[in-house]
Amino acid sequence: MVPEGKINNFLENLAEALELQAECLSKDTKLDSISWDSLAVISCIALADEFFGVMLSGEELSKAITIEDIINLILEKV
Amino acid sequence: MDIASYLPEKVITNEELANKFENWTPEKIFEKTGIKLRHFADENENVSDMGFFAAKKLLEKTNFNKEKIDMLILVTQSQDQCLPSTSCMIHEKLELSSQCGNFDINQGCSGYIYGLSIAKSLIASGEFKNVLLITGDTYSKLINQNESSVATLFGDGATATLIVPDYPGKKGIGPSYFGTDSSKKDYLICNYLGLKKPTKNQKPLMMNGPGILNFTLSILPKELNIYLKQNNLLIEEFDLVLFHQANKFILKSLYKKIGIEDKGIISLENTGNTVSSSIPMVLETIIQDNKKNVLLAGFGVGLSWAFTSVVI
Repeated sequence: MVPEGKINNFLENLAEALELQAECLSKDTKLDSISWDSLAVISCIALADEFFGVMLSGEELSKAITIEDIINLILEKV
Repeated sequence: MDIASYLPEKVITNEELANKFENWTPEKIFEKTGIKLRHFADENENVSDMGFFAAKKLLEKTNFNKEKIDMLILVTQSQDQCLPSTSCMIHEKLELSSQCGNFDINQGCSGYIYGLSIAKSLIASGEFKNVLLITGDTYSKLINQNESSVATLFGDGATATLIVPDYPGKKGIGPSYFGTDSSKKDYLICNYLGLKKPTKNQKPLMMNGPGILNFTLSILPKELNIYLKQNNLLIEEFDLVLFHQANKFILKSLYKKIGIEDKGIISLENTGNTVSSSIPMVLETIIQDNKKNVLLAGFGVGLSWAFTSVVI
């Protein structure tokens, strides 16, 4: 079971990498409403590895629509 | 061992790139890539020219008698032409001895370590004495300059390293270790200069950034451990760690994962990712310091990885 705090910590770091305020990023956030580009994908892969020790692929991430989809991808692999 | 490098005059700044690519600012490019500027070879400047300039600088710097060089190795993926080899072009420009052999190695980001390992083996065989190892690439000519993911990263450049058996101060090359995951060969690919038909479908360099990051973060730490174990080495024994200077983001993530942020070098501000020249370009800047034991790692096109160490 992944503690909620760890997920929040991951989201805070992801927001920082995307140059967003932490409160701008929640599970409901739609990726097309933020600056979700190739750099964002790369930041997300590195952070998922750092925080959860899981590798997300570019293909998997390209199917994600919301931040929650990304979290679910991570939780499936933990 | 001694090193000299050459960078073409033409410079591309982050400001120029930010003007071209929406959503990018000069600050953001620097923050993510660690690069402020990259050098691009002129239309009429080729790897043989750049390699020649680097080697000329090295020979002047070391005062080494070029007649004594008995093997010239060039690591490149942007050769002047199909044949003869680009190393042959440099052999002529440098006016090396007719008793000096030459060959090219088609390798990218792991290429310098391939070159060092081969040079070391040639000398250890006793059949060769003084090896000139040149690296050089003009990726700017393989790249679609409107593709932000590659146009911001790569720069052109060349280096020359002289490897001799009895260098004063006993500098030396340690054991090497190589690997390839050829199932990921399409992650960094360019089919220019290839003969495979239909040639009209040849495309500029394509890079799968997320795939390469994935590969690097999962393979490199694991393989580094194997290299260290196989050779009874400890990471603590090294003063510095110098990985291929791909970009700041990937290096930061990698050094952090391995736990070597304190000794991992990131230095590509004024060059960009110069492929096989990235490691020797940085080595050149630290070679003058007190004797140091440096762990080297290359990773990239292939996808490949390579480890060695040098005492400089």
